[in-house]
Amino acid sequence: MSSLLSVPLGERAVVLKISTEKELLRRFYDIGLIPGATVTCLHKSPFGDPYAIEVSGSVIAVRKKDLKKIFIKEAKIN
Amino acid sequence: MTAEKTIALAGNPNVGKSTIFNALTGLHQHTGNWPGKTVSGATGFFKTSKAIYTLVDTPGTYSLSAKSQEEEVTRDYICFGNSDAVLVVLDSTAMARNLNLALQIIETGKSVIILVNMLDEASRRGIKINLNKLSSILGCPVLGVSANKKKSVKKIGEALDNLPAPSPFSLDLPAPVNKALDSLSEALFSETNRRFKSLNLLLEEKAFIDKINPPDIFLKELETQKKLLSEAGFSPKALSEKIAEIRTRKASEIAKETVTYEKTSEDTRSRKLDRVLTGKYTAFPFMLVLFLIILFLTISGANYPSEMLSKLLFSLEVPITSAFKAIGLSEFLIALIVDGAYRTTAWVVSVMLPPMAIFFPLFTLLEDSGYLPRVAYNLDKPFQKCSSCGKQALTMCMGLGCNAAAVNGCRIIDSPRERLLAILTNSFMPCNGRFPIIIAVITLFFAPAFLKGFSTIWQSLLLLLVLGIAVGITFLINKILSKTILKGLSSSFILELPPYRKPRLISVLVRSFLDRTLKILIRAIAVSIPAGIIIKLLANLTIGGRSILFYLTSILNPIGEIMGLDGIILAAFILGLPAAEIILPLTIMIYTEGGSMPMIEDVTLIGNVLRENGWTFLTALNFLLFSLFHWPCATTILTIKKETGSLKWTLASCLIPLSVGFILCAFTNLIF
Repeated sequence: MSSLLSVPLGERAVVLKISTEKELLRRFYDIGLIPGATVTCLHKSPFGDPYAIEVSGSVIAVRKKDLKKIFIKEAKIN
Repeated sequence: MTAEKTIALAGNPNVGKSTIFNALTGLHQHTGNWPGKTVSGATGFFKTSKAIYTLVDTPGTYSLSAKSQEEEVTRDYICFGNSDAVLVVLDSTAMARNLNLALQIIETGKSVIILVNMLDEASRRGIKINLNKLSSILGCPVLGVSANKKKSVKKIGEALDNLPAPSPFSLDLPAPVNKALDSLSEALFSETNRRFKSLNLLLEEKAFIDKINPPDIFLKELETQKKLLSEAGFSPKALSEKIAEIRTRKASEIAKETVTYEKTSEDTRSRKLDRVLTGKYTAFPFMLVLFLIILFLTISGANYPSEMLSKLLFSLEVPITSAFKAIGLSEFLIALIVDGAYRTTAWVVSVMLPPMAIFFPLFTLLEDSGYLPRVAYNLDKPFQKCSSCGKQALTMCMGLGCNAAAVNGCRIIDSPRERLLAILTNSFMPCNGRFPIIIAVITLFFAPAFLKGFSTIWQSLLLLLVLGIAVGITFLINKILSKTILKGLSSSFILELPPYRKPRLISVLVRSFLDRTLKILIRAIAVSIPAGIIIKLLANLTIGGRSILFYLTSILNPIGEIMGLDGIILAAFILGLPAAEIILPLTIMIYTEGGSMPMIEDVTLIGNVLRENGWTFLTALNFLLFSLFHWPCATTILTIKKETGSLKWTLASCLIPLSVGFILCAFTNLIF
């Protein structure tokens, strides 16, 4: 399964499953990052980590190690 | 007769909640510790023709699930506090996410009025919101709020005067959960809003168990239902996740039904700015230049007013003295009041006020624009390397204003270990009380004469270098602490990067003056008056022909010498514990034999006093280092005690910077 980390910057993907620990999972839910949500990968910070992603209208910084645990549906939508 | 009501104000972070708070209450408010980061709720008052309202601002949160301290404050206030209704502020450019919180607040069974904010920005980005439809779905009044504050305030007042009944809205929960809640609510007969409370008790939310103290018959029923639900696949943990998911889905559903996008709704302005401000090659140069500009404006802008203020304040000394003489005060008392209290205060005000009055508004502008979270974003990787997180960069920035406020602000960091790291190292960032001292020493000892025309730029660069040292040491100590007494890996971190917004100039100026400048100035004055008197007493009370101050400085002298300083400087640092801004004035006061501070209208004269007392380039350097790293001021220490709840960590927060300062000074003293 590919994760959000594999989505090229500037492109979108639909979340399939999130397998981070419970605390972070709840945080993701609070900001609208749930299975089925569309996420845009926007840019990465100057040192290459974290990334900025857009979900339901807001931009969120998430670290690479956590992006790896957000799995996406294979077909990308553009 | 006018009624009195209490209204809570809630919303996600960065939705313009403070703007609405300010618009409603004007200047009738008591602010929390750090505006913009409402950490201990601000309250304010406003009147309509029908009632007087107390408005309580709560910290911006994404959820009521109480995972961080700020969320806990908000949750507890909304669920158990005394509010009659809640104003929920939504950002119209991110409705789905904002509705999630709104739903949670509606579920608590409070009367809710929804305020949809940032409508101007939404319409610029082609986002349209059907407020009427939203109101009928949610079952509560929905008001649009735009830049026209007067109109909005009137609308909000009218809505509050006709306070609606709580909305009947509820989530579509799975059938077994609904059934369980039905029988639980029945058993919770003595309570209001039973369904909501039952659900939270079912989810084992600790605050609810503590505060509700349910009857035995309920507890028995609770066990039965928990068992039944677990068998149906809903353990409390799974259930809580399920409900969060159902709610998030509902929120985006409602957003889909009520929000339409005309063209591309993308925030192209923020995207473009981010390309530069967080770009690989541009982010850090921009950050450095930005901070340099702020320091430059602070130094150059403060020079002249500082001089004027000190001339004015010192010229008042003569009339004040003669006034006291006229009413027949004794010489000793006059000396105590005028040479001690007044002169110290005059010093502190004239040295401190101008840089503060310039720095704080500039900093608030930066905060208001949405740039600061980008600093945290840019710097997260290096902080990760030290097992910490980028949010520490935010608290460090706050520390430039006031360490005590910043220690409070460390609540934005979720992980307790990382929060402690941020608290323990925060005093490394020179606060606004120490800024003027550092600027003065730089001006006196590190600005060579041949740089005449460019001296302000040079001073700003040096000040930036000093800040660089502070940041570097913060990283180092972070690393050392996380390898020793605060072992652990850096936790997960998510941070919102809000849209860039044009700062509201007037509001920023007023707020930063009232909340920061005035507050800190009053504190400094309150501290310098007794400090001035104590110094005067210590210098004039004698034992065996020598002043007490003499004994104190003699004891400290050997330690001072190891550090390339002297006993007098150390004594000034100790006496400056209540407020760092009086350290340099105290040093000079002790040097000058008269036992009171000299009247000095010209900064270069201070330099002469210091040089006459043996100050060299090295003394100045060590003085700078020690003013960065010694111990937090008294207010900060108290705040650390309050925030950590531990004497041990409070002590650590004093000893860590002290050891750093001692080692650095001893080191430079050895090699030079």
